[in-house]
Amino acid sequence: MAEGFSTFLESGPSDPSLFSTAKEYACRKAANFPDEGGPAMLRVDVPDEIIDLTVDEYFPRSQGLVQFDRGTGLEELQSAWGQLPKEIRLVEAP
Amino acid sequence: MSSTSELAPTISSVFDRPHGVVGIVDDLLQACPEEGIRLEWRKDCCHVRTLVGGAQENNIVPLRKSVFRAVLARLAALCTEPGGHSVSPYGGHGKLSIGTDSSRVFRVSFANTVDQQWIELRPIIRTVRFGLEASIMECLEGGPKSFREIRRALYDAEWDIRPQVTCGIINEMITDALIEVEEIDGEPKLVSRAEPSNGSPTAA
Repeated sequence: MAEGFSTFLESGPSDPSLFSTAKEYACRKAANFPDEGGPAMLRVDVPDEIIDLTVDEYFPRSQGLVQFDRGTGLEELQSAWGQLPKEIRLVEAP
Repeated sequence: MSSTSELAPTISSVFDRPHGVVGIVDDLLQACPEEGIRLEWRKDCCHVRTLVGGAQENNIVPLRKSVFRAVLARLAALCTEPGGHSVSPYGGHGKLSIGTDSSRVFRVSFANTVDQQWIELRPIIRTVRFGLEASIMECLEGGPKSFREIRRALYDAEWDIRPQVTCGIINEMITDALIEVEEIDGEPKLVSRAEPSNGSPTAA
């Protein structure tokens, strides 16, 4: 089982410059792997009650960064994963 | 300013009063001592130590790995490479500035991969003296340098070196046991002074 799973809220944080946007992040990561087809994002529709489990003093929802760790939502995410709507979005690199 | 002896409580307090990863990074940059710090995740803890001055403090801060990696991600988002490009989330080096007037500038190196998670923060400008010293030390990392090479490196680091870098300033740094002049192949070169424990000059 993974140690954790990092995601961004689609709505993003109140200030998108906090961590850059998911699209920008995907592009910056993909730049390290130029032979792998370019950036893409996985969109997952996670119920609020599972997201709420991730919120603590380190990861307030206002930051837009949702961190699923063991004991803070990862197990619940894994249990629900098969039923969660998902979509792969290709991102046009700048 | 945070002195070396104050490193443990100051840095620990940054993580003791979390108000989000963003708040942690803000506090970390404010608390960063002038000699710079290295934070590294290993053995399930965040290890913190100062970068120069012979400090051997290695303080351990209990922290979740995901929090540490998010701190690195936040710093990467703040950081720009030379030329203004964004830094890869996986690692690299660049600069970041804080304050409404960008009054504090840091040189940042970091890695944020599955195998390595660490960051080094070096304040470039807090006072002219410490900033210059850090820049010179960085220049010396590749080995001994001539005065001309030092001046060129400082110019590239955006220091207005003509009025600032004089032999007097260099000599003042020498008294701090960080840099000294050594004759190499008949020319004066700047080398970084060895750790106090062995006493002989070496290139960094």
